[in-house]
Amino acid sequence: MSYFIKEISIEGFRGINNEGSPLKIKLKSDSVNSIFAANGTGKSSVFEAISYAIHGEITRFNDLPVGENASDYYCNRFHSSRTGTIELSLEPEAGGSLISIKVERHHDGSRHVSSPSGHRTPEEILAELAETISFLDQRTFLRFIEDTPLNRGRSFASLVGLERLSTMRQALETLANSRTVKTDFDIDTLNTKCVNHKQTISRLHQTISGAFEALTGDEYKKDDLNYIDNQTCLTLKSNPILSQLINSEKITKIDFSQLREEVKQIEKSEKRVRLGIVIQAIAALERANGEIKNQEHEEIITIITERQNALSSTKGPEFHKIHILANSILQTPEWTNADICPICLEVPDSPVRETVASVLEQYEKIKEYDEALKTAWKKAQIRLDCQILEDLSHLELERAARLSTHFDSLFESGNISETYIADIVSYVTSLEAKRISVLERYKQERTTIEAALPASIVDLTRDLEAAAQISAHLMNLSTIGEELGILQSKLDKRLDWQRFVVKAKDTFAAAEVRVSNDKLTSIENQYRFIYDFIMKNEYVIPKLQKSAGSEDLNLRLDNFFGQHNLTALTLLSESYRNALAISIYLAAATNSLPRVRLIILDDVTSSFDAGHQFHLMTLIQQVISRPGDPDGPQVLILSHDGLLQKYFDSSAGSGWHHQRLQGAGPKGMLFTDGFDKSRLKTEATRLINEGQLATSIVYIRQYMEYKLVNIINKVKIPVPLDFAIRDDKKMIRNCLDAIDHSVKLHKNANSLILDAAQVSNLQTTLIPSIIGNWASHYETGALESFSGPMLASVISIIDAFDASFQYTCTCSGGAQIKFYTDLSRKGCRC
Amino acid sequence: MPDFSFELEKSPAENIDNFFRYMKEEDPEFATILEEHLGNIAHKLNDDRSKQQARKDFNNTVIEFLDK
Repeated sequence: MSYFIKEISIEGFRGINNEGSPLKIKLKSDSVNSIFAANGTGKSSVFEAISYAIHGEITRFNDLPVGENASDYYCNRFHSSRTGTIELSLEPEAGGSLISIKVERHHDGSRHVSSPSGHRTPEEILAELAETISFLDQRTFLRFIEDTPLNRGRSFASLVGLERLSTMRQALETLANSRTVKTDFDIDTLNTKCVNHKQTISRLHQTISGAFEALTGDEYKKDDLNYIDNQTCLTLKSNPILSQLINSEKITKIDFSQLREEVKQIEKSEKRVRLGIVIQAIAALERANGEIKNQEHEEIITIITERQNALSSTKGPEFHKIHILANSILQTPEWTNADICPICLEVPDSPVRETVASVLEQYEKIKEYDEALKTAWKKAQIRLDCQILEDLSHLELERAARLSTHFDSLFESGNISETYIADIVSYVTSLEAKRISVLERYKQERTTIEAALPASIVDLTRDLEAAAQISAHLMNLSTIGEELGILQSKLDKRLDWQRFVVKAKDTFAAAEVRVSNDKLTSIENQYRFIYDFIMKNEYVIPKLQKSAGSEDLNLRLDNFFGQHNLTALTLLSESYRNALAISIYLAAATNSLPRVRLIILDDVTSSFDAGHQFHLMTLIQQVISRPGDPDGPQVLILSHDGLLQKYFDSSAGSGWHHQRLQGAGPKGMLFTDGFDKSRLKTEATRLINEGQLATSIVYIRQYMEYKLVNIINKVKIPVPLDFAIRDDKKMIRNCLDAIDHSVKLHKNANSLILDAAQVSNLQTTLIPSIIGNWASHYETGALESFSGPMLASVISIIDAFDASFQYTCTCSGGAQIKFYTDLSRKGCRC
Repeated sequence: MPDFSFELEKSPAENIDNFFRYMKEEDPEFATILEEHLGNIAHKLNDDRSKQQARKDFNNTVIEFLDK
């Protein structure tokens, strides 16, 4: 749903105090709305109040220096409650009753939104309004022009309604980052565990295969472990002694501790028991074969070499830090010239951003090598061999002499060289040599014991231990197999997610680039048309250019007095640059989706001369805004420019609704010119009585200005061409001069209608008094010389001056005070 | 699947809806998680610490879903 704003009411917000009597500004939905306000009379506060009501913040406060609290500056600092109240009266575009939304900002920073008209979801209405309103001010334009191409690109995306897409794409990029996915989802850890489990399973199969074939003489069937289980049990039961002790059909169901004990009780031979232990030791030692194979650590050495090569092209951690900082600086709006290097403050041969990005990429590459190194080590066979050998109790290693934990921490730190690998290989080789030596000793003992025992007992013991080994390994295989299944399933699902989110990111980014380029093309004709409408210069044709595959947006010139494809920033003057920004913003606003229904422009013509100002206003009136474009947006223009004020005044009426802000901010009251002007006098008198002379002066000046301009209008006094645009402080004098000159002209021509007393009073008392008591002090800035009585007399004088141009009409019977029609006649028969 | 494109004449909200609809053809459950939780990160892009925390929270939600 879209809305137009019918009325804005503001109290206690920013420079608008208006305690007890809110400033009320009425807008028309079928006209261009303009508000003129002299400096310090609340114009920007109106802009910020609407912006705050809708967006919940004043964006420029985000740039306050560190230590300044923006919250301290939202509410008017002189309002006794320190609460800002903004009320918007909204007219639904589709028709229906007015909706009133009230937004309060409290001094503690809290915000409260309600609807005096009783609508249940005022926040939602504000959110809808936010989608269809565009706030444009001079600051935004300047930043857009002078910002980095990246920030300009982002502003543009926001401008043309693509900000949400840009935001979503960045969120997707955050999720699809391969390094964080690996970390958050434990991909490497899971992968390593799977690899290690597979290695263990392979070893177990190898061991079971040897023991099974030796025991049964049968072929090992890796894929039929049930058969291995049954067949081993069957073979064991073929021994006459064991057949009496085994009831199970499966070897994995036998309790071998108990079986060994039962055999011990029957045989009663210590040598046989020792043979069993020796056979178990030999099996364990044979299983822990740690013979080093070169290819096991070749991958690690390759990564180390590549990492060292990458490292040699960088220049240490401090160089890294300075480039991180330079990259940050390049992103800030303060760094307006992207060609200058923030480190050396010069313009290098190669583009600065690309160079900084390339250096940072080198450091990123090293991080990637560090991660790859950790992963390769965790998966390495030599690491597993090292741990197995260290855990082999038969080697009797002291805990302090074990190095595998130390190796792990070396790889964690990333501080690895080829020398370390040689040390690791040497250590594992020494463990392996020890294993072989211990194994040989056990084998000799086995030979000795077997020679001393009957062959049947030897066979029994060998079969028993082989079966025990097969049983333990089968159970182990089952457990590890199950674990591997769980781990692999977990890993596969996570890799599926990673593939999905990367695809989502790539799909979204590609679509965003296409639509952004399409948008650019679609508004190209319009911003060029607007630019030409304002500047009327066919020899300068701007072009927005988006860099492929990036968010950068460059301001170029297709044509610059016959030269082509040049940088706009370096060639265009300030007014041309601003015109370009305004053109782009207006084209974007009128092409956005959802359609912008209200555009608020705050002081956007400051750098324009009169001609360009009028071109822009004509464009807004005829092409952009309602009623010029019946489907166009409602437009509100805020300005402090005296020249523009004349344009507003002259345009008022036909599709143009103009108002002027008067009064004194931020301590006093502000009014629009639709109010009863006697309030200026009342307010000034109250302030004089309270001794607030400085504030009263503002009201007196405005009251005088109103009275004098009113006289000029009423009695049709001609004014010079530059009447309104001369020094603001001399406005009163300009009026007096024009009136005095005209009175004298009529008097000399004997056509003056004023009576003798009026003429005399005017020329001998009132004009000299106004000049003496007011103009001479005010124009020179000598405000401290004003006293309370002097200011009170100025108010009386101006009322008397006003009365000098009026007479008492009795045509209709009663007495009626009227202005003369002009300086030579009355408007009646009196 | 055909290439996905945003449409100029559609609002960002409509285009984003269409994107998730497209991704649902790839994997309905993953796309639903993404649709429901992506906004949590999008709102925190301006503050790196908050963004990274939101990313971790998001990924923990995904892990919980994947491991259930």
